Amino acid sequence: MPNARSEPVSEDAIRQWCVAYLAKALRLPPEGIDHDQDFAGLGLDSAESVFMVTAAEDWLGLELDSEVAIQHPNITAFSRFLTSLLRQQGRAAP
Amino acid sequence: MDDALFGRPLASMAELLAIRADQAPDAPAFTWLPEREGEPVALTFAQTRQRAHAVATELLRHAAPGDRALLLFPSGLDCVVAFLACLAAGVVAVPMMVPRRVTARDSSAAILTDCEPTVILTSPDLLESRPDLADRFRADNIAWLTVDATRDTHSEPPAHVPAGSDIALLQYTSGSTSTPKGVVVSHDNILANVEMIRRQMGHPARATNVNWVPLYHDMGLMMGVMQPLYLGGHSILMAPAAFMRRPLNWLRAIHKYRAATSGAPNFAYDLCASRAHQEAVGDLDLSSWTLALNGAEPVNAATIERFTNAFAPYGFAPGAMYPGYGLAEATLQVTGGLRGALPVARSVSRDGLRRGRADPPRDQADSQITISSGQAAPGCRMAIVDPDTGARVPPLIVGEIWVGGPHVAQGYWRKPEVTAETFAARIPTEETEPWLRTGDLGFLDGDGALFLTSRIKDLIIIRGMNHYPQDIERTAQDSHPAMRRDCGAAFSITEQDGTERLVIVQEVERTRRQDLDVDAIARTVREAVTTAHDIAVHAIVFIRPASLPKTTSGKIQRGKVRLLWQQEELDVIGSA
Repeated sequence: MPNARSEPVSEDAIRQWCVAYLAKALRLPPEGIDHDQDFAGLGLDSAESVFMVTAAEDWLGLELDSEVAIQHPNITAFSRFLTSLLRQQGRAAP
Repeated sequence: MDDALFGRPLASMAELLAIRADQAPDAPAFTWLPEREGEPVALTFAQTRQRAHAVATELLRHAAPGDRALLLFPSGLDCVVAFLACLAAGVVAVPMMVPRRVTARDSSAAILTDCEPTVILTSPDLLESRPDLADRFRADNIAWLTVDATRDTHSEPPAHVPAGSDIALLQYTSGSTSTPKGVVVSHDNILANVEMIRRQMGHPARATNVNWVPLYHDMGLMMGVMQPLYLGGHSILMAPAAFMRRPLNWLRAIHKYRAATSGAPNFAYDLCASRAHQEAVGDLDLSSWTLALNGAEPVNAATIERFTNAFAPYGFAPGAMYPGYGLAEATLQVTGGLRGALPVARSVSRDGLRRGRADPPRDQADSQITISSGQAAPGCRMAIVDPDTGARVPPLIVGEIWVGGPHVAQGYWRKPEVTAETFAARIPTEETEPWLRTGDLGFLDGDGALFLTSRIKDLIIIRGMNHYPQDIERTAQDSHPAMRRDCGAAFSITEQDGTERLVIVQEVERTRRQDLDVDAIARTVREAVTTAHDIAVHAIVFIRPASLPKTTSGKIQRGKVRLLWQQEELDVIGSA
């Protein structure tokens, strides 16, 4: 994984990463992105959600299923899920 | 030795499979590349025949020749075996996209009702991972059969041998979600088109092909299964999701297997070019790739340039890029270029195109680069006609593309009226066989090269998938009470980089105009459209009641709405 990092990452950092990613991908102002809004409501179709999952994989060095952004369909749920995976590996920062 | 087969009369691709299995039993026929770790899974020609025959025999215990079998598979060897089993048994194959978990509104239920299958073929893995599918397609009189391509079984050829004129498959790529149309493709249609494709594309015998385009899509099925089998070549198959996740893995597969051919819709080339700028490409040699088919959505000049520039350093030959045009109603291929030649580009006047003429541009700002989709394939008739009168138009005048030949399908399944309208067109004063009306618009240059311009039916094509504006408009209107019924327009726009994006223009109810929360309603509409149709909404524009352009008979003028939107002349209340 090209950008995989080994230092711990916090749930809040993941949320911020999601906001930054979505703002760029969907051309939305970051301050207008609601953490509890469904990804589909923000305009993320399944192809775009696959791109986001892949980018998260690269960033965090995790292996993720293509459908994780469908099963955890907003920033809050997605970040919480990724944090739980990192915690299992002892890589979640408080 | 193989060449003697090409053009020889055959009854079906199943007969061809049997011949291939006799000729080269141990040569690799289909290889599946798993997305992550794990070794590729391969079937030889002999194994492919044996497993297809075993499934065909099993199939004929539950279905009679001519009955329909729904193919419910993710891409993979199980799907290939199931499809070839249907061909061998003379049971009509109905490939279908596996419905997404979250979607309630898709075409699957309507397809089931329309084709009345006797059997549903699926894979053991899918049935286990998606228990909701059994509920979704529950019916008393449908048998479920699972197909495991890796299971070693012995079998004799099925007792029934289909005739060339029998129906091989129904391709449900046309029609809206609520009224899907199944294109009736015969064994003869497939055989005619694979030979046309071979001659036009100049495929060498046993050419290796890499394909990730979904196998329920006409392009994936023909290029990933039928064409390699016809050529006796090795077909390397990947999951569409594997491509979407790691686009460059497509090119790595071409490198690894020294593939000569591989094709995809335009967006895929664009995606690869972007990735090449973002990540390390690594060790990649694309010099074996002599035909890169670019079809199933509009071909963009900027994409071709970007892709070629990005991958020329890795051995990609500019002449390998091969734009083509086709549609399921003609099995697949209608036009294509000359193998190895550079794509033909033409600069035309934007203004002229709006008036249906391919004039030279006045100046730089008026210039639009169009890429030719090539000439009619050998044995294919093509005419550009005035869609209202059916009379031929001269070169450089835009008209509807009409097509004839042995690859033109038999019609739409159990839809005699639409079949007559679409498949039995006549050019006045000409005594020829009937023509297929494609609904696509384009012009020819002096050399008979086709340039596509737009679609009559307002079809929206995003990432190679067809969407009907009526379906999207209905979803948007159903999502919120402030949306006026039948008073919206969905259309696509092409951005500078060639990306197609969806725009929705929608009238708002008079009574709701005062307290309108534009952002909240826009979110609701976006969510509904993305969930139901899996397309991102680029822009939503709410306009004043009764301001949407319609014809005197009440039809929505989507082309005019698009123009007004581009010129910012709509009566806008709010947009997001």
